[in-house]
Amino acid sequence: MDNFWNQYLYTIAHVDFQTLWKWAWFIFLLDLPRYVVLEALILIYSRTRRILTREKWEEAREKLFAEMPLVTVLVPGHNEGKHLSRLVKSLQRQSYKNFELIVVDDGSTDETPIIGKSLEKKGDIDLFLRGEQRGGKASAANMGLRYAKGKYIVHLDADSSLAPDALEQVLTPFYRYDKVGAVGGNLVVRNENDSLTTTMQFLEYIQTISVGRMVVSKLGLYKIVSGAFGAFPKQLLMRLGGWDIGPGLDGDITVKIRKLRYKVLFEENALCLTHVPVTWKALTKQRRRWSRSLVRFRIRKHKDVWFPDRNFSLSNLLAFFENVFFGFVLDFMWIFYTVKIAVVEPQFLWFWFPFKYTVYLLLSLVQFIMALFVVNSPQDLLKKFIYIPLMPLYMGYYMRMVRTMAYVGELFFFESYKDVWNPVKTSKKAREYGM
Amino acid sequence: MQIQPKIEQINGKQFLLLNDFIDADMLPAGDMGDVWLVNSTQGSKVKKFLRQVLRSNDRRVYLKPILLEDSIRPFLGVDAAIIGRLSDGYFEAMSPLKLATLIDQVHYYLNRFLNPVLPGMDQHERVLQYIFDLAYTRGSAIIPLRSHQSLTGYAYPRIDSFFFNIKDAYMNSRLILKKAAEEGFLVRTYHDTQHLCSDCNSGFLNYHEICPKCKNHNLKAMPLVHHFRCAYVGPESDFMLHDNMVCPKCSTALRNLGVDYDKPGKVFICKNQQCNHKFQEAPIRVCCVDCGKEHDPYELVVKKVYEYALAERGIQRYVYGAHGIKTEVNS
Repeated sequence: MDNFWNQYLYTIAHVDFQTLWKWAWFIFLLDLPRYVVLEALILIYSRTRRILTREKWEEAREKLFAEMPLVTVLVPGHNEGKHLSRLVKSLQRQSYKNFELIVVDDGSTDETPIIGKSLEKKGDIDLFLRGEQRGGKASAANMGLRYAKGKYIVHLDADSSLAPDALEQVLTPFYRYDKVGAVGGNLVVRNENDSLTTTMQFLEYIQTISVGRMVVSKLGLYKIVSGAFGAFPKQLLMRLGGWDIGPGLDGDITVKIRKLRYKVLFEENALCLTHVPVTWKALTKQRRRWSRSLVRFRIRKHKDVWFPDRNFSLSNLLAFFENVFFGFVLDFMWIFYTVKIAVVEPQFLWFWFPFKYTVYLLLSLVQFIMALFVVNSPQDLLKKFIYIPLMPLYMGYYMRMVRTMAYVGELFFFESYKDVWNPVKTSKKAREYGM
Repeated sequence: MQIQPKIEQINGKQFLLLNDFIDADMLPAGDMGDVWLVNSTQGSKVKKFLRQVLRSNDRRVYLKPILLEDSIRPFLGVDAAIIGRLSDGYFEAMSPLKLATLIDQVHYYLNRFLNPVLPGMDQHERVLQYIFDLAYTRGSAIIPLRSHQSLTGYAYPRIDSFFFNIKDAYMNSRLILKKAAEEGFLVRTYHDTQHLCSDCNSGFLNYHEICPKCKNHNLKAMPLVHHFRCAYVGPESDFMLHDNMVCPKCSTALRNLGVDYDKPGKVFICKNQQCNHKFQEAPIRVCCVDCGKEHDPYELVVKKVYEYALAERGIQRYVYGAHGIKTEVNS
C-alpha cells in the first residue's frame, strides 16, 4: 500500500505534461471548464440576479395570487395507486389552493382503481380517469389533459410529493417573464437512505438537476422539463395536441415547446421530492430507458433541429449539441481513448486511472461545495459527504457504461421500440411513423 | 234473470259454453256440464269471471275443468297469461285423454264429499283449502308468474285472485304460502330473487346512473378513443368528421379498431348546464315507478320468490283431514 502511494505521488510529481495533454486534453479542455468554471460562474451570476431582482419575483408572486387561476395537477400512472395517498396529502398542504387534481390510471393491474375511486369519492381527487386497456404514459397524460379545466397544467409523477410552496413556486415564472412555455421543478430524492443506490442518486440529482439545470436554464439551453414535476400553460399543450409516445415524452414535449420559441425555465425553489429506484438493476433499467430517448428524439425524431431550415434556432441547436456532445460523443471518446491507451501505452494505465480518479474526485468536491450553497438544507447534504469518493466511480464508470449500452442498443437495434414500458400496439405505430 | 245454458256434446263429454254467463257476470250452477268452455273475447270480463269461479264456496264450481276456446286467444291481450293460469289452458292443447282423466279425477274427488260446499272458515284456511283441492286434482305445483299486473312483478295468479288489490294480494299470498311452508304443509324451492321498493314493495324500479356532484340523471356517455400513433385520447366525438373518424391531433384517419386505435373506457358528461361535471364512475340511484321513492341500491328490499309444492303433511291435513273427505264417518 505504501508502495502504491509512493509510486503514485512520485508519478504525480514527475508527471510528463506532454503525455498527459496527449491523453487527457478533453478533461482540461472540456470537463473542467464545463463542470467547474462555467457552472461556478453561472451559479454565482444566477444567485446574485435572483437576489437583486427579488422585488420583481415578489411582484410576480402577487400577480399570481391576484389572478389565482385554476391549475390542473395531472398525475398519469400505471400501478401507482400505493403512492397516491402520500401525494394527495402533500397537495393538501399547498400554499396555492386553487387547483384540481386529475389522476389517470393507465390500465393498472393492481388495486390502483379501488384506491383512486375511493379517493375520488372522498373528494381528495377531483377526477379519477381509468383506461381499461393500458395505452402508455403519453396516452394517459393526454386523457387527463382532455378533461383538465385549469389554465396551467402541472404534470406530476405519482411517486413524488411536493414541498408546501412548490405549486406557487413553479407557477411564479409564468408571471415573471413573458412567453414562458414550460417551467421545470427541482427534484430531490426522498428515499436517499434506502440503499447505496439511492444515496448516490441523491448526490447525482443535486449535481445534475439542482445545479446543472439551473445553469443550462440560465444559458437558455434547458431542454428536459422532467415528467416528475413540470408546469405548462394548458393552451400551449392543447396546441401541441399533448404528449407524444415516450419513453422520453417529457424531453420530447419540451423540444416541441422550444421549437415554438417559448421560454423553458428551471425553477430551483419549486421542490419536488421524488422516489428513485432502490436497486442497481432497477436504476440501470431506468437510465437505459432515459438514455435511449437521446438517440430516439434528439438524433432521430427532431433531427430538423440540426439543420438550418426555416424554423432554425441557434439556442435549440446548442441545447441539442450540449446534450449530445456531453452525453453521447464524450462517452464514445472516453472509451476510444481508454482502449487506445491500453493498446499503445499499457504501462500508462497505472498512472491513468489513479490520475483520472484524482481529477474527478476534486471535481466532485468542488461541485459538492457549490451544491451546499444551492440546496435548502446543507446539513442533510453534508451528512452524505463520505459518499463523495464514490461519485467519480458512479458518474464516471457506472453511468457512462449504462448510457453507452443504451446508445448502442438504440442506434443499432431500436431498443426503445421493444421496451415494454409502452404497450406493443403503440410502439409498433411509433416505429412505423418514426415517432 | 235466467240464462239458457248452451251445452255441446264433444267426445261424449258435456261442454258448457260460458259466453252468456260471462256477459251477464253470473256463475253457472256447479252441476252444469262436465267441462266449461270460455268462448268470450272480452279479456277483462273473462278474468273477472274466472276469479269469481275460484272464490266460489262450491267445490263443484272451483274444481270444474275450465278450458279456453282457441279463437279467443288473440283477444285476451295483457290478460292472456293470467287467464291461462286461472283456467286449465286451451282446448287445443288438451288431448281428449288428458281431459277425460281430469274430468274423472274431479268427479272422483268430489264424490268423496257429502257436501261439496265449503263450511265457513277464515280466509287463510279457505285459500289453503282451495290450493290443496286444486293442486291435488290437477297434480300441479304453485309456480310464480312474471306479470306486470302485480305489485312486485311476480304473481301467484290463483292465490292473488282472492284479494281485491295488488298490495293486499302481495302481502297475503306471500304470508299464506310462507306460513304453510313453515308449518310443513308446503315445500318450497327457490325460483328468483327480487329487489323491491322499501316503501311500497313495488318491483317496478327505474335505475338511473347519476352525476356524483349534482345527482342529475340526464347524462351522456361517450366512449374514449386512444389513437396509437400520436397518443391522443379523447371522447369519440373529438374524432368524428362527417362519417369518418379522423384524429384531431395528427389529422390521420382512424381505420381499424385494435390496430390504429382502441377504446380504453368511457366518460359521462352531466347535461345539467350548471354542473357539466365529467366523470367515469356513475353512482346508481333507484326510483320506484309506483311511489316515486328514491333509493341507493343497498336500501332496496331483497326478497326471494319460491315455487311451492304440496307436502305430505299438508295433504294429510287438507285432503284427508278436517275439511277433507269424511267417508269413514258417513258410510
